[in-house]
Amino acid sequence: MKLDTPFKLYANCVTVKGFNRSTICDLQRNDVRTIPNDLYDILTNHEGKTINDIKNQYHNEFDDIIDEYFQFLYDNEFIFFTKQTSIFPPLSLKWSDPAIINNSIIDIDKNSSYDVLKVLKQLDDLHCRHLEIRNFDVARVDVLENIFDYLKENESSIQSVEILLPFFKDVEKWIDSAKHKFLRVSFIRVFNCPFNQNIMPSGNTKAYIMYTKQHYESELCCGKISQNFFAANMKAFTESVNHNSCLNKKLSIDKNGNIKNCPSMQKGFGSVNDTQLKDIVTDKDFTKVWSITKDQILVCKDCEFRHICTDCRAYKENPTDEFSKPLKCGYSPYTNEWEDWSINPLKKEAITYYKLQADTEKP
Amino acid sequence: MKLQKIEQLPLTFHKATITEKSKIKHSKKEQFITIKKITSDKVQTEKFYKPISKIFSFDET
Repeated sequence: MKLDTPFKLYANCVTVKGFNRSTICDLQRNDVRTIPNDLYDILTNHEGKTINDIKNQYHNEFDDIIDEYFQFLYDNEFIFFTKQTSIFPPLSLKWSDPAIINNSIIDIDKNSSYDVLKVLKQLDDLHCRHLEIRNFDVARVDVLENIFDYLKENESSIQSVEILLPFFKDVEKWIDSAKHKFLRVSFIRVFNCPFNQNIMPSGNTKAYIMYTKQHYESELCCGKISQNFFAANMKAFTESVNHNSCLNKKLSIDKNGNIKNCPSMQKGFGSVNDTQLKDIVTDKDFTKVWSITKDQILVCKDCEFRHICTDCRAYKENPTDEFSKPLKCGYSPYTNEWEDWSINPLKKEAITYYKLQADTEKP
Repeated sequence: MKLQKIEQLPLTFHKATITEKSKIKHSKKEQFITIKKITSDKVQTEKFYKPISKIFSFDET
């Protein structure tokens, strides 16, 4: 460590202040550490100064602690020392994406009769790149095979497809026989399985295949907030700073063919049978949720994880408040503890409102 | 302002999460290898940068 040379945070290491503590997010390494708010203040107010200058600012009362802080930052490669601080500008936190829609969820159940390929063609026109197809009650192999054929033969803009389907007899054989069509499939998750197994991509298949004993009933299972969903990368972080981290540039089709921001949301924008997706994406009512940032959401705005976390606007603690905390979040930035949200008595009313009864819809 | 020592902050400095552990320190020798040009598949999958829906965890594999 150099005590008499000014320090700089690497531009890809961004700090986020929370109520009790802060985080430092290394957006290149997907690495997040919690830090004391005192250290956040030092990094914010004194970047570009030397360690000795900072010690002097505190009248040399806390030299050992400041040494400890900077040793941590230096050891973990969050900071470097340079006399030319002005040639290292901060990272731009602007976010942009050329696609009109960049991700989409399509739900299909045993009664779904809408034309999925017609939806895919329209998503192509909107430059959608990432797609998730979810089957809850029954695996619609017929529809999935049509989708595979469409994606194999067409120059689609869709780069990755994730598939969620329930276990059925011979599902492994079916996956094996259809593997050659998985060029764009990045993930297949089979739930209700009698066993757990993860299969890594191999050969011509780019897809991860996961068989799990876990059970999922419906779209009510979605919207969980967990550290497992944290995404500490440049795109996700900057998107969260500027837009909603779940719904921005997302368009979904629910199992009945209704166009929605998310299949779990109640508000629909017409049926795909008689409405063009391109007309919906210019509807201000549809896009208004895109701009709800974590800095506006109650409790989340005090959370140190707010810009690496994904949001949920479908299930909220207060269903009538569009800026309410996600219902399925058990974290408190005021105590820094994770708890089981489904047994929190303060959430009971909302849980009943959304009819989240089954255990599988909880954590 | 009064600064606190690290020991007095039981929850601080713990890793919140590492979604993909850095390999930068260990991969210096391999940084300049030629990337194999892929000719067999025209279409490549690219994982989305965040979970699309939140039922399963993002990186359970």
